[in-house]
This record gives sequence, C-alpha cells and structure tokens, in this order.
Amino acid sequence: MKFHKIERLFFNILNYSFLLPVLSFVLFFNKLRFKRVAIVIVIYSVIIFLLLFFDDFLSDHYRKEYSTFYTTIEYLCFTYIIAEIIRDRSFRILMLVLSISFILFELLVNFSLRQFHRIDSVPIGIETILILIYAFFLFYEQFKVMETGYIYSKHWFWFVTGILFYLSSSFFFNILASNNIEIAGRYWYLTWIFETIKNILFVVGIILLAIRQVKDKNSSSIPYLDMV
Amino acid sequence: MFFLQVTTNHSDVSLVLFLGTLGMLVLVIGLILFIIFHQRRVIRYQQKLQNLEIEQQKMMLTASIKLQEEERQRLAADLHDDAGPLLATARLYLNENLVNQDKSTQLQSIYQARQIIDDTIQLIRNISHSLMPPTLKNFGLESAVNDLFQKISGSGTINASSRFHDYSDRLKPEKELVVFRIIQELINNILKHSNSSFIHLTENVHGDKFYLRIHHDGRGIVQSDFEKLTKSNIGLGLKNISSRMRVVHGSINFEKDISQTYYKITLELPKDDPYES
Repeated sequence: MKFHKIERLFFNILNYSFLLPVLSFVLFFNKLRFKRVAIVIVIYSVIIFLLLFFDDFLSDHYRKEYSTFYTTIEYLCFTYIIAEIIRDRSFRILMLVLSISFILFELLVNFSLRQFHRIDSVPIGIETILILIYAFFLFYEQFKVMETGYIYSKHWFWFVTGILFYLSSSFFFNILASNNIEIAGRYWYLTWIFETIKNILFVVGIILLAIRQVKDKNSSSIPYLDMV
Repeated sequence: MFFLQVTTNHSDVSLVLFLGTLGMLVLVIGLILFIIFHQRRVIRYQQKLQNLEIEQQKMMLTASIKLQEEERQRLAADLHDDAGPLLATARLYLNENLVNQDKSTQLQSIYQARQIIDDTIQLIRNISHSLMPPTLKNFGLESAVNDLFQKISGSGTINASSRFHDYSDRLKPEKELVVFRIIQELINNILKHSNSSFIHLTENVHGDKFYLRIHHDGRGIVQSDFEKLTKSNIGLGLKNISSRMRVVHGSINFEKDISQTYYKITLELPKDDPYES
C-alpha cells in the first residue's frame, strides 16, 4: 500500500491509538481487572493493533481471511459492549441469533466469492446496520428507564458514542470500497480520524468505569452511622 | 448499493460519499445530542418536582408542629386557668383555721372543697377525653363518630347524622385515631365556616378500600381550593388533614354534588390486611 506522508501519519496515529485503551486498562488494572467489558475492549484493541501493524506485510493472498477476521472481531466486541447494557432479555436473545447469522453469512459471502476486492463491503455494511440497530435500541431502552444521573456520566455512553461515530463515518466508505476503490481510497484516511476518535472515547469510558469502581468501593466501606 | 453501482461519474461518487458520510454523522450526533438534552430536561423536571415535594413536606411539618404547640398551649391554659384556681379555692376552704372553726362551718367548708375537687376531676377528665376519646379507644371508630355526631346534633343548632354500612372489620387503632382526627377537623371546619343546616357521614367498604363521605349543605371548598390552601401559608387544619392522610396512605377529595346543592368530602384509604401483624 502506497501512502502519502500525511495519510501515513494518520494511519500510524490510528494504529497506535489502539494502545490507548490498553494503557488506560493497565493504569487502572486493580479496579478493572474483573470488568469484562474493559477486558473485551483490551483484547479487541490488541488484536486490531497487531492486525494494523502487520497490514503492510500482509500478502494480498490472505486479504480475504484478514478482512473476515477483522470484521468479526470488531462486530463481536461492539455487540458485546452493547449487549452488556441492554436489559431486555428477548432482545439479547435476538442479538445472539443475529450475531450467529451474521458470522455465518460473512463466512459464506467472503469465502464463496471468486474475486475478493480488498475489503468485505457487504458484511461490513450489514455489521454497521446491525450495530446501529442495537445502539438505537439501547438508547430507546435507556430513554424509557431514565435513571437519575446524567447519561454522559455512564461509561457505556462513551463506548457506544465511539462505536456510532466510527461506524456511521465509515459506512459509506466501506460499501463503496469494493465498487470504487479509487475514490474510496482517496479519502479513506478520514475513517482513520474517526476510528482514532472512537479509541479516545473508549479511553474516556474506561476511565469512567474505573472511577465508578472507586466510588462503589468508597461507598461500601462506610458503615451505617445513623442513630435510628 | 444499487445506486452506487450504476454511478460511473467520479465526482458523483465523491459527492455521494461525502453527503452520505455527513448525513450519517449528523444523524448520530443529532441522536446523541437529543438524548443528552432530553435527559437533562427530564432530570431538571424531576428535581423541580422533588423540590416542590420537599417544600410541601416542610410546610406540612411546620403545620403539624404549630398545631401541636397550639394544643399544648390550650392544655396549659386549661390547666392553669381552670384547674389551678379550682384547686387553689379548694385549698382555701381546707386552710389551717378549719380546725378552730365550729362544726357546721367545718362541714360546709369540707362540702364546698369536695364540690370544687369534683369539678376539677371533671375538668381533667374533659381535658383527657379531648386528647384521646375513650369511646374511640374502647369501642372503635364507629361508636366514636356516632357519639360525636350525637353530641353535635344534641346542641340543636345543626342536624348531624352518621351511618356505618360495613364496619365489621375494624381498622387498626392507630389508623382509627388518625381517621377520627381528620373527621374532627373536617366537622370543626364545617361548623366554623360553612353555615350549613346538616352534616351527614356515611361509611362503606369496597374491595380493599375503606370509604368515608361527609355531606353538608353549607359553603364549602372543592379539590382545587383544597390543594391551593394546603400549598399556601394559611389553612393549617387542611395541611394537617393532608399530612394525616399521607400517614394512612389515603386520599381525600373535596367536590360539589351534581345537583350543586351539597358539598361532598370523600376519604379513601386502604383497609388493613387481616393477616398483617
């Protein structure tokens, strides 16, 4: 892949921005070591970092497997983040069914195609639509509950906002990539900017999650002092 | 996808790409901002409601304390102005010079002192009864209310009657006392302000609810007046009624009869669970 200097810079920033959630997790390791959502984000970040890091060295022969693996990991991580917050059991079951169907569809589409265009546009498009539906449902559910405390003080809000930013900004690039790689590739760096923003928002979410753990710990250590 | 496939012009594709991406971003940002601002508005509204609730509770508490103080002052005045002089007079009759006086004077003095002490006993009994009606304590709400209405009717100024349709399952004593105090306060208001010619009270139960309704044909208030008065600085008795209703988890409704002739005050409260200890 030939890059212009500025695009190379954006790519490197994106690549190393995947280390930010990992670093924030390490920083708050004591508070977050048992938080599954943080662990999932760390695993996702490490895998994507490695995939992007070795992207240049990857032979086009394995591009199909690479894209499939990338999309699957991304889909599973984003779905897990949202599913952890959703309370509606039937919707969670629906998410599970859709996820299995999506992965099967992705494998079918990617490995049955004779000619693979650098990127798996159709599965990514479906992935984006599914995640957007999950996120909208999550917001709708939260809308109904409306607990006390501002929504932006919750860790998951930043995770979901990051996901929405990234997916919505890259949606058209992804579906266009297999048809018109020339134009999509020209502006592809824009998606890297939004993906970098997503990683920063993930860091905000992780920090909020760690702060909440500290607050919970403090409140539980205070004994009951009332006279009555 | 289809429209992208048929598009061949590069500038058109770029336009679709930018407009599409921009549209998606606007949609997402709009959604997130909408959620944030809507939630802020809801929280602000909830806080406002909470503040109002706290304010009202404060007013209720103040009214309750004020009423308690007034009751104490009345008791103090009764004891000081009535019982005190009576006992002092009795003491005068029984002074040290009594032994030096002749027998008939002694007997007369003792008789007078006994009379005064009897009056004092009666006075203290009245004070005690006003604090806790013995009929209510011993025979329950139905008897206490009937007793109260008979006394009012006996005065001859107003026709008062009461009827309990179904009171086989009595309310808990503490609940009965609260309900009785509310009835007392309502009757007191009717006597003071309504200038009515009759008061009628009926009781019934329906499902797990206990109902009491007071009718009168004088000047009265409707629910909006009641709510206004409980939120204002006046209407101490009504505030007290409102706070007592909260204690028994009940509701009170002031309305005018369809015929526009009578005022109705309806109390609704949950019946006690028979299995509850």
